[in-house]
Amino acid sequence: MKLYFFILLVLLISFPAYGEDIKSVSSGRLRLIDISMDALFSGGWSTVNDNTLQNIQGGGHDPRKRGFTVQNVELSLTGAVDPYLNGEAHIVYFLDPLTGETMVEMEEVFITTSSLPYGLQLEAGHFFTEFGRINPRHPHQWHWQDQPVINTRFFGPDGMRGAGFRLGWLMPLPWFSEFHFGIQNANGETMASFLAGEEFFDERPIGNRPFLNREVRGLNDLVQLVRVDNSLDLSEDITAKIGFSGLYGPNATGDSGETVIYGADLVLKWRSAEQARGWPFLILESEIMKRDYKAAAYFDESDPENIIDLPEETLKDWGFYTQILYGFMPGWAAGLRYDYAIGSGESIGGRNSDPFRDDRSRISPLFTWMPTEFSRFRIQYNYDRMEHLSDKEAHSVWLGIEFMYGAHPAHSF
Amino acid sequence: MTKRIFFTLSMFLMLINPASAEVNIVATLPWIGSIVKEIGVDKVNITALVKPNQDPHFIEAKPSMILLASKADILMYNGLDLEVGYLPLIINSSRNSRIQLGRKGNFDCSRYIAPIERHQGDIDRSMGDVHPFGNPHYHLSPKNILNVAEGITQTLSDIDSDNGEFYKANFVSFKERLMERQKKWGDSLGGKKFIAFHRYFEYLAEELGFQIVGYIESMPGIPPSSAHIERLIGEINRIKPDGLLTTAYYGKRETAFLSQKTGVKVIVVPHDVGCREDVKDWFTLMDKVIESLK
Repeated sequence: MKLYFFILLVLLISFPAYGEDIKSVSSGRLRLIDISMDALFSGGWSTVNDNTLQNIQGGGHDPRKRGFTVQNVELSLTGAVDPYLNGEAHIVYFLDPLTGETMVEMEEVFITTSSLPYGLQLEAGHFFTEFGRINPRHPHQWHWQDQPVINTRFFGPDGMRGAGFRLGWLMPLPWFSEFHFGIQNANGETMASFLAGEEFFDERPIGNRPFLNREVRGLNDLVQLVRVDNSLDLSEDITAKIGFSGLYGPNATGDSGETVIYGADLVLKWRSAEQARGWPFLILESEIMKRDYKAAAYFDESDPENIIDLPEETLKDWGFYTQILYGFMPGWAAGLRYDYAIGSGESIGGRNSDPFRDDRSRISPLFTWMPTEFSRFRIQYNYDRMEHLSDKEAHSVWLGIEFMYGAHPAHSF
Repeated sequence: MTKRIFFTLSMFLMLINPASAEVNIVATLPWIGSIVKEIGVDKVNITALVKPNQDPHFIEAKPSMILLASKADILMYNGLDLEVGYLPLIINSSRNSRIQLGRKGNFDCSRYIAPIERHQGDIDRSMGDVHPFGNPHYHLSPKNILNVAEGITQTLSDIDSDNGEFYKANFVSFKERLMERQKKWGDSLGGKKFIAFHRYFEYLAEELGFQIVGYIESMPGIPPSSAHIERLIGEINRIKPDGLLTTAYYGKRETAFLSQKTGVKVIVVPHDVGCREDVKDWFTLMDKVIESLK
């Protein structure tokens, strides 16, 4: 009872009444909803065929077809719900590169509070998991045209997202430091390393293990997130941001299957204090992450001719990407990204035959031209080395165009 | 037990968020900070988010800005969509109820001015970065700044009523000094004509009686094409303006090229408080601006 009273008191303190309107000369406007459309298209070629491209360009919004790919057409709707909440929705359309079928994703729909006390902010709905830098950001916020290899392996084609809540605490420290704690459903195709879904496992079974349905019996059957984000201005022109993230949840291999993912991320941005249109700039960004995927023992003797007996095993994978982007003159930038991924613990059929667990590295130079902040042209070359391919390597070139119109919310740092 | 934990936690949170005697003001632009300083003097603590020589149209919301906004009693900004690319994110992420839209601590300076160049017809982005509610660069307009200073005085007096008389007295003194300087500034630039890189000096031109007869940008916020530059050379030779106006962060290359081709001098006008060492407050900014245009 006392606990409820306390919560009520905190909510009352945090939701103060409107202040009186101030006398003003100019008039305002009614802003109920901001609508924007952002479209990413690409065209290009690879030395490997389209079927192989579905694995090596494994991000759902990566360029992944010889010819053209409709990567991501995002409709964003944002606005203030009431004096206490802001709403945000992002609906994504794209074409399946092989079948041409129109796909629709409810990418994110959530609310955030604007004035909880003590530096707290609650986010609730369906949203990207705040792990690292790439996962919580939409494809059009990425500097490169495809997602890093390690993100595809751990978080699946469409990034890790799900229904749940997240509490962020802006800690009372002299520098920017934010602590996040979140809980989300562990099931569904966007929870690749956790309970995932049967359809997802048909395409990309982790370690080639069989899929098992699991009931939610307690908190341990949901995914739990902790993240700490720190930022410091090293000088007037240089800002550093360092984050540490951890995830824990059940996986789809059986009742004792569980997954832990942890990682660190760093971004260093230099933007001249005498910048024009945001140029020149230099952005160094890197993420490293590791997954311990404890696959449960599995025994199936339903077919006496083919008895399956898999021991419990922890499949360990890790990898990183590091990228540098230099905006050398207004509108122009050049960059280089390096991807690396490796693992231990056998997949059924051998780890190095598994396109999502083999030893892999990728080098991706990039050139970008932005005539204005609403349009962007990019050319990117990928040199891939992968153990699962018979040739062990692939070369791909992707040209991309992006355009955005409408009122789009500002992007986070 | 639960009660004790909550009590301890509440006390801890109160201790790490100590109240400050001064009104904590976060301003987006340095000139806003300078006006607040005139009114608030030692009763206010001011931080500006944007550095004097940064292009105020293209600012990224840094985490340190969110931290500053989270502690602000008042957030003061230019308005007319100048900060639309970063300020909404800072306000939303700050978790600070005092500075949310509609609250006393959300102070849009442009609400106190009479904007010019308000668009009447349809506009879209094919026309460049047009500001539909009027030209946002009003900070070089003594008439409008006086109104902004009065608005600041009113808000400071409301939020910190104990010092209300102090703020009002400072405003009276500010107004007197401004009136005095206005006599000096007068219409000393009357009859002059300039070509400007961006629509930055229109309020000043209106008040000081000079003319802006062309722009180096082909459209607001859109860098000039080579065809536009070619056309400008002909136009500059025909009009013979008194100078090509720009600011520290705008079009150095384009203005230098045009000057070389036409012999018309480039004037890098000081654009905000702190952009040069000798521009320490809004009054010296105005002095130096007018001096540069003479």
